[in-house]
Amino acid sequence: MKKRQELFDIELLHMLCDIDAPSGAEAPVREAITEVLAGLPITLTTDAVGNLIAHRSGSGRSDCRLFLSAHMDEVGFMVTGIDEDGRLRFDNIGGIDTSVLSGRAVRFIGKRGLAGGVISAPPVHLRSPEERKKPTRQSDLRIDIGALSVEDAEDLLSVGTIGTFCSEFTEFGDGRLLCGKAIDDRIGCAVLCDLLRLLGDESLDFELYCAFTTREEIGCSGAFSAAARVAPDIALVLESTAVADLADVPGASRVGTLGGGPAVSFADRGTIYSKKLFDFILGIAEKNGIPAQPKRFASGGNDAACIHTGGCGVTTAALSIPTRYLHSASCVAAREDYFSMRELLMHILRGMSDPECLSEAKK
Amino acid sequence: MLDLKKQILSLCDYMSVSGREISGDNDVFLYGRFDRTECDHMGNRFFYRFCGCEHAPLLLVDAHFDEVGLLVSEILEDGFLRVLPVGSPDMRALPAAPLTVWGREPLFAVAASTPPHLRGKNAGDLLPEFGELLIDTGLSTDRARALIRVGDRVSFRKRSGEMKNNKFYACGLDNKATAAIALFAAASVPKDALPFDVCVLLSAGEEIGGRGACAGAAGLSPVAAIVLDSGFAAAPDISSTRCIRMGEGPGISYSAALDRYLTRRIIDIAEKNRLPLQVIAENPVTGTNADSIQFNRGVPAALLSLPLSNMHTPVEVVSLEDAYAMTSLLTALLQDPAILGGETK
Repeated sequence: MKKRQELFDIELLHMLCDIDAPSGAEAPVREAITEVLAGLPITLTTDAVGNLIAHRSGSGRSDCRLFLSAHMDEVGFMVTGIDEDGRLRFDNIGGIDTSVLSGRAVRFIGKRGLAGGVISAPPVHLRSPEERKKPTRQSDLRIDIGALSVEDAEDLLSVGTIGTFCSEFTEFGDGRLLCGKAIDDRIGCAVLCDLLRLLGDESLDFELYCAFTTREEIGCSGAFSAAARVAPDIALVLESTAVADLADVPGASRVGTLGGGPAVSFADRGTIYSKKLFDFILGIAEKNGIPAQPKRFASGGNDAACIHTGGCGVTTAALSIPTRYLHSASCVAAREDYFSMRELLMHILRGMSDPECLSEAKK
Repeated sequence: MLDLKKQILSLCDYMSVSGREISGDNDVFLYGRFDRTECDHMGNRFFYRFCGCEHAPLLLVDAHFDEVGLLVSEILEDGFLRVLPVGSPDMRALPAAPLTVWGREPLFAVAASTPPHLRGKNAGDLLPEFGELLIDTGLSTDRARALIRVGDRVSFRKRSGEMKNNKFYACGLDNKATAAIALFAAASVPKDALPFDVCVLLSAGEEIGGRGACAGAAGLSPVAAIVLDSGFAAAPDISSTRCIRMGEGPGISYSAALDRYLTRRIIDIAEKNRLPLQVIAENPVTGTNADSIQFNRGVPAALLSLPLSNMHTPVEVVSLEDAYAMTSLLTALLQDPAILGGETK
């Protein structure tokens, strides 16, 4: 088996997606990333709320601070109660649509290692025709780990134990697409790790801060602290965003297209992004022939919401990997978008080393 | 010692969405322990043990081998498919489920889920209808058309996992679990202990109306039939009296459609051997192959059920202890000459 440090791009993503780390429990991802980044000319800091921040000094020619962020957490579950028959009541950590829960395998980070279970609804045969057409209400779903009683379940876990979807990272569609849990936002983390490693000793004029943040899925509190510590001038949020480029979905409702390169946001539910930076990024993509696309719908939200209002305001952009079925056991993204994102970011970083360019982007 | 769980899971790996039960070779795990094996045009598989006496009566042990799934009804642009149900897969378990499209080669796919921004105000309360549900193969339009044809079957992705108390989940345990039990029990009876010939029928097409068992039983002319199927595991939120409790052994059904003598005899043998058995009433019919075999073909039949939860989802759950209990009971029944007595004899 390869060491974590030897994993790049899709292999790195695969390794990171296999880690179970819902919001508030990101430590295993943080440890993995720390291993991956070992030996680079960076200073790593872990702050009080679990963010991992890599600082890479610039040449000194500019005091501009560029902040790149990707969140380490994923959506998941928390045990909120144990029924007398040993089945678990649970809440979602982060926004999970009720319709993608029933029939999924899950695993909990239990007292004695991982405890497997399944999300159960009363059998479809014994439901009325009306009930069969509806997703089972969350309050009627239970997680079955095989336990027979409260005490039996408590042998493995307790109220407050957290878990995630249990799914296998899979490449499919002639190898073009990737499917798995936690692609949101381990894909941003993987790109960021690759970026730092590809930069090697290359000199950049500005101060670069790469933040691997916590708790994005429950309201972006990690990014708030990380940005407050760094006080950046410019921020780029590396994300995955929900798209619906499905047969039958027309125009802008698709949000973005898999394989069309990173989606650059003009606005979403948390942020109105810098027009200058938006134009700058799409301009660099065009100039260098790298696929990129404007995100065509003001939907979703991400760490930018907390970052861009920090300090006296931060010029902020978001670049997202278009992802189908986000926040489910089967998030689907395109392999080529990973490489487009990484290449575009390299060009952005190099482009920003040009002082004129930098001041242009900052406006 | 054969590992029953391993055998169950190895049967689960067979793609057997109704109508396409024979997906590979016929070399299932205990093949070598039977005196004869056959297939027919319905997709049924027959496994015989002979007692060695000429003109010996035949006992049929039926367990259906097909599973619910989907079939491709339309191949759209960009590798998306439309599908129709085969049997009654649980629609609620489909959005974002990993699937396998059984085209020219097995292809990984995902059942699409609709993102919240595309839902109307109340549309989020409803699951997609079959005409609306999309399957995402990730293939280009051309590749999808080259690899997939209308009518190809789609199943839930074959996966399994461990749970507490010897329970486990897998896709297709309804009814691969009892199919494995039937083969396991029939293979383990010593030849000289067989009072009659036995045919294990792994029947096709149960999920679409019991047609395999009907034709299979007709061709065999057995004296009696024991049908093994999956039964609903009890849970506090299910009020049905048809449920059986997981971990407390198999269930046996009294039903107006089934043979009371055979049912009674099975209960007696379970008691005599101190094997757990849960008695339930399913009236007037059971909705299983037992109905088709007794009702349509006039063969006295009884029904044994293995408790199973999350039926027709990719995470069907059974208890290995129940599976062993059912195996022990069936092994005892296959050595009981009186089982062939019959109501009218």
